[in-house]
Amino acid sequence: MSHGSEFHGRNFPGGVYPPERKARSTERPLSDAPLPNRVVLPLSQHSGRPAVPCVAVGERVNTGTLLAQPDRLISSAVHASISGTVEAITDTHIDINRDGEESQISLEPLDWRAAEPDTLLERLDISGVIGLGGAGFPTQVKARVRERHSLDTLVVNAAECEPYITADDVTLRHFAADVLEGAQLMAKLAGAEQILVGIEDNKPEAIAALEAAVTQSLPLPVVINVIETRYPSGGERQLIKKLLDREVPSGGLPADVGVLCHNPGTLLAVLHAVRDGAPLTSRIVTLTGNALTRPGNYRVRLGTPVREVLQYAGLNAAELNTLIHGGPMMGVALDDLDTPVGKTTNCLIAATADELPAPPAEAPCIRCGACEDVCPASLLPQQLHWYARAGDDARLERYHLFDCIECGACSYVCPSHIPLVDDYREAKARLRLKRIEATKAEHAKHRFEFRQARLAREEAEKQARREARLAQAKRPAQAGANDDATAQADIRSLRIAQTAAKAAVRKAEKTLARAAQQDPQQDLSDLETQLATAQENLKAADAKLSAARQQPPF
Amino acid sequence: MLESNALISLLSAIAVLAGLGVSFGALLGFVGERFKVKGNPLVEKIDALLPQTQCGQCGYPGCRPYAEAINEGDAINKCPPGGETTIAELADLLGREPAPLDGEAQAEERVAFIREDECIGCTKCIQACPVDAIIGTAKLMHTVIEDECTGCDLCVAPCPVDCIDMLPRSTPLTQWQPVVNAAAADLIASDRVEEPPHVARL
Repeated sequence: MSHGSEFHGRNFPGGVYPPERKARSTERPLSDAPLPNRVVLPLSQHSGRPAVPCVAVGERVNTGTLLAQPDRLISSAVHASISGTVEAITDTHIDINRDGEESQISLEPLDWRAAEPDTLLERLDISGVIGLGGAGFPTQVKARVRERHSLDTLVVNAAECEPYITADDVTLRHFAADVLEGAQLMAKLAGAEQILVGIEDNKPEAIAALEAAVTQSLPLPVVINVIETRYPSGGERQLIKKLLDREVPSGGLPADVGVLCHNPGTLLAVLHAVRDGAPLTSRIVTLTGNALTRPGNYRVRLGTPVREVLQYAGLNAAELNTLIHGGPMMGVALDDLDTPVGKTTNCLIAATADELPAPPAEAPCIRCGACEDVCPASLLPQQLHWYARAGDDARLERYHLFDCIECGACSYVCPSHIPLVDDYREAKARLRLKRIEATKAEHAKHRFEFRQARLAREEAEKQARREARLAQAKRPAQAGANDDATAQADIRSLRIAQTAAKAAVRKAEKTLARAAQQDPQQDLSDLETQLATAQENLKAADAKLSAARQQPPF
Repeated sequence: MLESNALISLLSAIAVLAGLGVSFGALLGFVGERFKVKGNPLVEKIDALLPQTQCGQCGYPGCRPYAEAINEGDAINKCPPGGETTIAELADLLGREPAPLDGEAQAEERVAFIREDECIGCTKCIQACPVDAIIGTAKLMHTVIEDECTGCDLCVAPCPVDCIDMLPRSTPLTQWQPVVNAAAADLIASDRVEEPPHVARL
């Protein structure tokens, strides 16, 4: 345990204090980036399944036209972010060329205070709103957790703890009232009783704007909680610990402790989708880094190539060393300046070599324990590093690798410059693949068992028909009861088998029903196969029993 | 008097112990019957380690029969789809020496693909498929459900017109694996080639 948790009960353990470097991007007011001539809209900007295209190549679309529909529950819609013609549709993205006539399509405005929850959920679903903080979880799914959890608090996660990023800060400075209205809307959907805003003390303007807006925010009480600036206080689990002193269980969700977290940008998008009927077609992006001459926050249409927005912000291409998507702690370096701005692009850092130098070469772990002190999830990063490199998957699970939030605090303090988070990401991907393969093997086994059961049933039925024919032919020449006792015993054991098969069917039905009730969205085909196998076994037992009954002429 | 007392205590001790023995025996017998483990748990464990392709390359008609055979003492190195990893896991579970793979290891995961315009609709492959992954009916084209196919090869031989290919399985984006160059860390400092790492740090 770190010092933090020893001295303050309501604090999350660990954490680091990296240089903030937020001032540069807040100097300029929020402005709109120019419309791009061509946008590339990925079908998978959210977590879950990719969206399914519902337009054709060559079709004329307006800003806000639905391009791709969500595929089943955990998925999100994609809308045209400019007006023009659909240029290409591939497995991964849809391209649109602008034709100069800007026309906007919007849905019918809704009054969220009066509208039915189902109408609101449907609106969120078709508006393509996802968590804009970075993880990109479909907001509509998050709004539905009420169905399975009882919630009491909605947390507006405005901590924005990563260096450089100021998108939420600027959103709150300009639209604090709208963000709070969005929060009221989501709180109503979630059935929460209070709204908490968690914001770090390095954003005084945003705090002032919130305080001005909070008095008008109705109907739920809103409490603004200004917290100390410490990375990663913006992690959901860390923020919940800090604001409410509740701990989200390992492998659980904030909903397990009655909390729902939303990012201010998401709440603003929710309000626009409901109140104005505007689907998500643009977002506020922080463009910063020393390679830009006009850093700041810009409202960028989704799908705009990164190159265009950076050039608008005054990119000095000769100075550019690394381009980071997201923050410097958790973000990823982009290889390609033609990558489009997506729904989860909160920040682009065009860094010079002096600003974010390449890390020194990695040295072996000296087991100093610095990573353990800063880990906000109370894990043992050095052990995880060891086991990840060794491919020791069983130990990784035992040391709760999946509780790692990949915040990068351990890599930040590592005196040996080990890219620890890269190890964890790789190990997580490997473990996930292993789980997928294990379920696939299990599924193949069940399909094999089903086939065996079906073949056995067909054989038994054939046998039963043959016996029936034989019995019919023999009936006139009633040969006396040959070995009645053995036949009776046979029938008894077959009846036991039939009862067992019936019980197996009932058990499979119950398992299926329970699984369907617990999570109606999950894939039930494997359990259905198991039920079908049990049914085949029952039919086979029935056929055998009837054959045996035909056999002895009583 | 003393003798009869001793006899009584002796007899009562015997009676108590016998009574305890009988009652515990009955309890154990009842529990053994009530909570009987169906099937052989070791076979289940072995079966769980096998890749469930049901390909029969081990000489048994499916993974479960092979698991039963391993339990009876058959060799653990007869599963090519599982490869060295499965052998190592089985050796670990059973406490046997790992042996080199009997057969050719598969380089990559493959699935059956029917060239549909050449298919004559004979249903022979459908009958051969151990997991019902081929759909189609007599005199009509057949096709393979890629997600269900285990890549067992069993449909290839029965096809009278040789229209089944084994193709590499397509990997969805969700199963993408990051490539991490961890090898660099194991070099001693003087052997390192200084290459600027791609990701910058704060």
